[in-house]
Amino acid sequence: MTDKTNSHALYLWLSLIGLIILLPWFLPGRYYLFLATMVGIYAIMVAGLNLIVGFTGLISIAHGAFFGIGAYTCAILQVRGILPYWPALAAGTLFTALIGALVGKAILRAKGPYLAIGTMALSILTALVLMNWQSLTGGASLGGIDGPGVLKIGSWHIDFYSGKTYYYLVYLFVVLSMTGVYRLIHSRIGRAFIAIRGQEELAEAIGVNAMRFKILSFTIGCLLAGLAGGLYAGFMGAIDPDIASVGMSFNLLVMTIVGGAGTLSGAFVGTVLLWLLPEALQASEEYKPLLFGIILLVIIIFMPKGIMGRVKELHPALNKWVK
Amino acid sequence: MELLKIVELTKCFGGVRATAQLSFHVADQEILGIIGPNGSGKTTLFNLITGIHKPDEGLILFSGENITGRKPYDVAQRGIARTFQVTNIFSGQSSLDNIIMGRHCRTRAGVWGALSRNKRTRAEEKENREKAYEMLSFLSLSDVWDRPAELLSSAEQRRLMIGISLATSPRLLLLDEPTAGMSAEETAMAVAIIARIKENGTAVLLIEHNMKVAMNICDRFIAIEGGSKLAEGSPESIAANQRVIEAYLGKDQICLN
Repeated sequence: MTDKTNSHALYLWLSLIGLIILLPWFLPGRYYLFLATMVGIYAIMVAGLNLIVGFTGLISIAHGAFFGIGAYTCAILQVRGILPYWPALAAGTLFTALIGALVGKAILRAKGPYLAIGTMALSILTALVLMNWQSLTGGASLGGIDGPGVLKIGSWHIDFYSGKTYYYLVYLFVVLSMTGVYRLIHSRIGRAFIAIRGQEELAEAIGVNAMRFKILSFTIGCLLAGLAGGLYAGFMGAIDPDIASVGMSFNLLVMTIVGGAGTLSGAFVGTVLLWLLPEALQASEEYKPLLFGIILLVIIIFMPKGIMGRVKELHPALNKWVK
Repeated sequence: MELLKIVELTKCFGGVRATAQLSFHVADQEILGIIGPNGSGKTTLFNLITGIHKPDEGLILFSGENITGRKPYDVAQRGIARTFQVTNIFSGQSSLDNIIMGRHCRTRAGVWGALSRNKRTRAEEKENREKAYEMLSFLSLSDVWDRPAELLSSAEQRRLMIGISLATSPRLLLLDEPTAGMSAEETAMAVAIIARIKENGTAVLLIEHNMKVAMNICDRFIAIEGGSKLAEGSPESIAANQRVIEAYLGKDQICLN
């Protein structure tokens, strides 16, 4: 990359960050701020799934389960008074990554459809455990999660009960996650992921320990799901086992694929689209799912590589921009 | 010195013996040609050496170490690289990135190095690019450094495949029909590259059907049929060997030039 495109990319980044900072001041109401925050939380999670599905070529229908594990770990630690929110968030994130690594070690021996079924079973199992281990999880719903509350740094008071502040907190993590994933995929580690995605046999022939890097990719993806889960728990104040359901995992997969699996921006575009499209559809409630389904179908038929995957193909120059 | 030593290697698939009691060696800095009719077990031999298949019996020693039954990535890390009969490259990636991917096992950056982009990682990436440009120039691919690999011509793709394997800095390179499907001009270019690989100190084990090419660049040959060794020796002695001629070149038509 030349210095010129480097500085262009910097401007693009700066304007995106500017947009994120200014957005809450232009949103018409609290509901839209809620939506924007949700999009951020999901974008972190989908960036993780994109690493697993888009860049390493694995399939996971268990990402919702890891979101749930992160949310519940963080929530339980705080509700039980074991840890305040911030360490609980860190603990939840790391615990999810640990579970991801252990599960990955066992399940990633399977490939293709077998891996899909295996991860789906894991998702079902997690939701069942969360629902039925009532003494730990509170069963159908776990409330009373205080979230980060008010952070006091000297004379500064940062009030996370305010919607705007929480929005900024979430998007701080969005920017950090996206930067992390970007740096990862443009490194030796990311090249190993991409090598496995394209040609596993060739990857092994050049010395890539495919199993090890699959587990690594899965673990980092799960870490981001756990982080998103903890942020979600703090944001909502109450969580239920549905967040770990198979349906949730499927939704996340749809966001990844529609946006463009294997493109960094695709994960974000897919998340925004799947959150905003139902809002934008001005049809009656009855027809909404139908229209929604048709639009997704059309996108997948005409853009098999997803929206950003298609944009990338339009012109070689766009390749530099669409990451 | 013996770089690779194969001792009584046997591999059966179901009832078929693909490799039978095969023994030979590759010396430092030599090009050893493997010839034999289709289905004689040449590619199976490559798969055994590189760990894709596990042998039923026998030993594979690489610079004195027993590497029998080791995993493919482990074998590659120890310094044996290979190309495939069917072109195998990373499509969607530029030629340059294809070569850099090949440098995986000779570079160290981990997750922290990638995230922090510390001095060491940046130096490593710089070296990656420099070495990759060098490699592309060695393979006459400099002009297409930023072209996605799937858009290269088939001869360019085959050279790129050699480049990916060479990027692992191997001490032994296994080439599976590197000139298959190439024109005379492209073949000449590939032959020059293989000769220079040897000059640079890498031993080569070569499966080659084009006898003119093989006779030109190989220091020694082994001929196999039905998975076992038929003959071994210099190009001249192999060309004159009656059993090899019958098994491989046909009983009546002998055409070496």
